[in-house]
Amino acid sequence: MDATTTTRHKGLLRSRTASGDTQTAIDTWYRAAVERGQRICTVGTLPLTGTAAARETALDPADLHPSAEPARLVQRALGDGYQGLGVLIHADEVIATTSERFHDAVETALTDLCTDHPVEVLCVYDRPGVGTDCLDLAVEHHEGDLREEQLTVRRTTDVVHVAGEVDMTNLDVLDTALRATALARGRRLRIDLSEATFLSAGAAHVLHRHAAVLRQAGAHVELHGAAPPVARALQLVELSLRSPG
Amino acid sequence: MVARAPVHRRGHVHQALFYDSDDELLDAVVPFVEEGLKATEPTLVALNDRASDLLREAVGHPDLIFLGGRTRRHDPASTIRHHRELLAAHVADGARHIRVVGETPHPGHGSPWDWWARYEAAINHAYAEFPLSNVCPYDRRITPGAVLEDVMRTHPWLAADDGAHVANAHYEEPRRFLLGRPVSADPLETTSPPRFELLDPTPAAARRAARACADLLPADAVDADDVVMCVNEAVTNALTHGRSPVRVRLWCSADRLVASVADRGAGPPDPFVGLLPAASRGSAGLGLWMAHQMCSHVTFHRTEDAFSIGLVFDARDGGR
Repeated sequence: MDATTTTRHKGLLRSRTASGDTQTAIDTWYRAAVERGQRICTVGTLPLTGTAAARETALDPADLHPSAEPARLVQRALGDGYQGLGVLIHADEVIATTSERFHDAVETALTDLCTDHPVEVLCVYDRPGVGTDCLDLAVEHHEGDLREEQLTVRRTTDVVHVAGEVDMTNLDVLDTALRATALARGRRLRIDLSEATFLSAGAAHVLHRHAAVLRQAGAHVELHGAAPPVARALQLVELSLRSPG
Repeated sequence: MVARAPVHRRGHVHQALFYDSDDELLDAVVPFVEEGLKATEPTLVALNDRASDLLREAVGHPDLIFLGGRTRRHDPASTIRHHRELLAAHVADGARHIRVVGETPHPGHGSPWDWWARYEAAINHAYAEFPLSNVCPYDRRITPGAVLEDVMRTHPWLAADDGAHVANAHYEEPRRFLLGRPVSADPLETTSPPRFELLDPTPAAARRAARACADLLPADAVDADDVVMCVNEAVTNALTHGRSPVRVRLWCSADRLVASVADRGAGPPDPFVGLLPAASRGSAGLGLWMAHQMCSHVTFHRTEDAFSIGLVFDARDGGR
């Protein structure tokens, strides 16, 4: 799976208390899909504040289950003159009406669709909600592009790219993403911090802890590109790890 | 008054030495230092420049180690870290006994006191494992009365007039001293309204206010990133471990920024929080330990139903 494919299947962790940035992300995705000429399919009800240029097709979660052969939806859209499919899906509603396991299968089917067809997917997970309760699922299925209000984590074969700010409100996202990385990666890993603008002490600690676990497993781990304030947090945390009180 | 290393005693022997003149300082310290040098014990001195010169002239021994420059005491957290490394290195080299004459900064030297008072209490724990005779000289001519009181409560031993050291009846167990310590507010807090005030903010909102406040100072007066980090950590602790409402206030003048983060909880239960490297103490300790190394001063104020942290950034020394 290459980076382009995985970034076509995006995950969005939507904070219920958020300032509206995650809503903007939904609107932006929607407009881009419309501009690409894709048929917009929605699963669940997500408020769209942007101007709807195309009619949305409401789908049932079962339509996207592998057993329903969702590729047929793409063929139909192409036959109707669309350039492909844009799928907007609310994970909380899917899991509420089906199950975690069912949603897991749907996510897998969507990744396959993005790999083989002109399909873009945005999966919205609420926090609090399945974005906290089933964070593993959100992380696992959106390794190419997982967004939270303050943070974006993008993972490829040998790079974890951390952009934005990490604090107590989204530390679990970084932690879960790095844990998934530790399980899945090989011997070389770069954690790219060039777009990280803030790391709390807890975030710096989580980074060092996962890097240490990976190194103990024989991997070569590089923390790369940290700007001075981020580097300072990492350095102080490293000092504290070297000389525990 | 002669400070002597106690005989047949293991662990950290932490003594206060009060003096009223240069002669009294030398009368007490020179024999203590010479005894150590004679026994080829590592003997270290951390005094102000003038007192160091006096001692150097009086002792004139090449093995006497004067700590200065990078090892000078900037803040109590990095001082503890440096000293523990230094003491551990001497022990690893085979030292069976180490002597230190170390002056602790206080307002008489132009330094804030609260965090150094906590240092004096905490090192009874932090250096306990080392075979260390540690004499802390206080010049009564310049030491404020409140500082002398804290010194009496934090040193288990006192250098006595008859040349020995005696147990100090006023010594308090560090935990008790540290958890029951009131602190007076920073002058900036009492003389002006806060520039920013937030109730139960998200950490992100607190960081934005911290940066906006730092930006009100002249460029490079304080390190805005340090202010943001320290405020974030204090707010994180309050939101995670404290009780609502969490109140953040920020003051600034042309050369000073003060942040206060208060909640209705009892404060961190760890009395040494902020002073000791904290990886094993959970994230609360880690953030406050970092703050101690970024700020010019950190104060803890505990009352029965509230806890507040004061973070001070002075422009004079570039924010630390």
